[in-house]
Amino acid sequence: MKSSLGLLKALVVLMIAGILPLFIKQDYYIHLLILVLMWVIIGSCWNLISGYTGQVSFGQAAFFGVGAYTAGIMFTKLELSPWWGLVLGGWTAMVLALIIGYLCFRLRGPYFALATLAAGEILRLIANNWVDFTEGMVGILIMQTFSSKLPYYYMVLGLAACCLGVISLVMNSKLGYYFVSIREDQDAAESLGINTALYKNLSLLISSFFTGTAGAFYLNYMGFIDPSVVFSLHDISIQAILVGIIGGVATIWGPAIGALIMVGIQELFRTAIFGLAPKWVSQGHAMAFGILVVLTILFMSNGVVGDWSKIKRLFIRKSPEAAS
Amino acid sequence: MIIFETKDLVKFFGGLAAVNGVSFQIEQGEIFGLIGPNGSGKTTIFNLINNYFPLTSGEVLFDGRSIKNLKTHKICHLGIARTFQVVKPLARLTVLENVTASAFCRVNSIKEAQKLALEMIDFCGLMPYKEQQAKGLPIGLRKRLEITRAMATQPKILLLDETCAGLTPKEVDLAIESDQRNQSSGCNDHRHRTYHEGYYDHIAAYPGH
Repeated sequence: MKSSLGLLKALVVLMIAGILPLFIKQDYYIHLLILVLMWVIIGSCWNLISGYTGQVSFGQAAFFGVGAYTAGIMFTKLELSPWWGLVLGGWTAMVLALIIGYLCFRLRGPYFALATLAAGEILRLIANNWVDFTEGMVGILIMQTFSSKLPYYYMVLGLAACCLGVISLVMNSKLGYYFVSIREDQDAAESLGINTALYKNLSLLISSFFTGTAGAFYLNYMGFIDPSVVFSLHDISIQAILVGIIGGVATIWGPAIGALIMVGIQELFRTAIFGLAPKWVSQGHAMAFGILVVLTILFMSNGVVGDWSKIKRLFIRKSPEAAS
Repeated sequence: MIIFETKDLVKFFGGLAAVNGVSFQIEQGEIFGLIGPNGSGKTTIFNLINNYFPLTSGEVLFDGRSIKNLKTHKICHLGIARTFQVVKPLARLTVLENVTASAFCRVNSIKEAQKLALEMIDFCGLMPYKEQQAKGLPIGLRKRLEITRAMATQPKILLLDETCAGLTPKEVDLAIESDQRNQSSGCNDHRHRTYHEGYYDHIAAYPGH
């Protein structure tokens, strides 16, 4: 019963997202929607490894960048269409995930968080300095295939739907129970017959696959990548965490809502509240995120989705009896 | 038939001998008690059996084969389940989810796991609490959840670590009642009350040092 209701909800959301471009004609808004959907993917992936499995990743940018650079380097070195990156980007990200996971997941404690943080930064420096291979800080420029934004929109919508679909399938299976058990108590999980190292690796593999694919999509859509963009600590890795936290950690829809809020706020500030506010306001988006995260953690630590009932109570004032 | 055997278990933490030369045998179907004062190393023996700590020396035999170098989760799959003295529920999951997670040890589909979990929950009398979060349960029920969860892995031996410690007499009776329906278990208890009542088949009194 419950799962069929969830499926219905998902189909309705997908349908609304599918017909949205019929009503929104301006490219600018389609662009924003594409960004939102991309962040839905990255946020959901972070949520899988960190929210559900409890292994906090500070380096989603590493997987994102590796996916993007797979597509880019195949274009510059092998003269293949960058669309091949969409097929292979996820797999190269998974190779990176295997290495990090193999090294870190036999250990407990903050090692995984530190290793992912380092991996992102190390890869950024490598991409900056290995000019022969990655073109260095000049970056990789490709010709976009479509001039219209609609094909990209439907492509990323499909990707996001796949990603959310896979994650919700996983979370409703043995894997999901195991991931959450590992988050709650590793000792108990081991004593229940759960191979914690193996299942942490599986979680990271799924997470990195979709993040890498999103990276490859980013190159195809934007037509340009450089190391400071795709391996960015604050613009990718940290933002992935913020999307998860604001939307709601360990909820299926949390990162989706989080992505909507984050991209919305980012644009609001970048355009200085659509040009209404003085120019210096546009510098303030990082601060706005900071304040938002502090407020989220203080007042609704489960995020917008996790604490939805609290938010509802805030706006719909009922008599105390009715509320309880 | 002897199903489980330890030979000369020794564990040193640095220079401290926590367990020094413990040997015992458990028959199939037997309820075996291990008693001793606080700090004598009862829980440590359990941790050695499960390979939470590596043995300094000695041998653990289960079904005739040595299990001393197996990983903790493999030992569980072989059929040795344990509970924790300091309970370790999966705090933010419900009772049903807790037990379902451990039922996946033997089955793969979610339907079968839930069915098995519900059987075990019913068997241990936790039905009224199955939708409650584990962290909200009182200690007696959390200890019972530990047992339920261990049993959902369908073990051949159940290692119960102080499942009655810190409980009221009423709760102890309930705990024993659910234990007695089990087939084979190794118990560890420093409450003599339970053993006075003839609960165990055999008891190893373990004086420590």
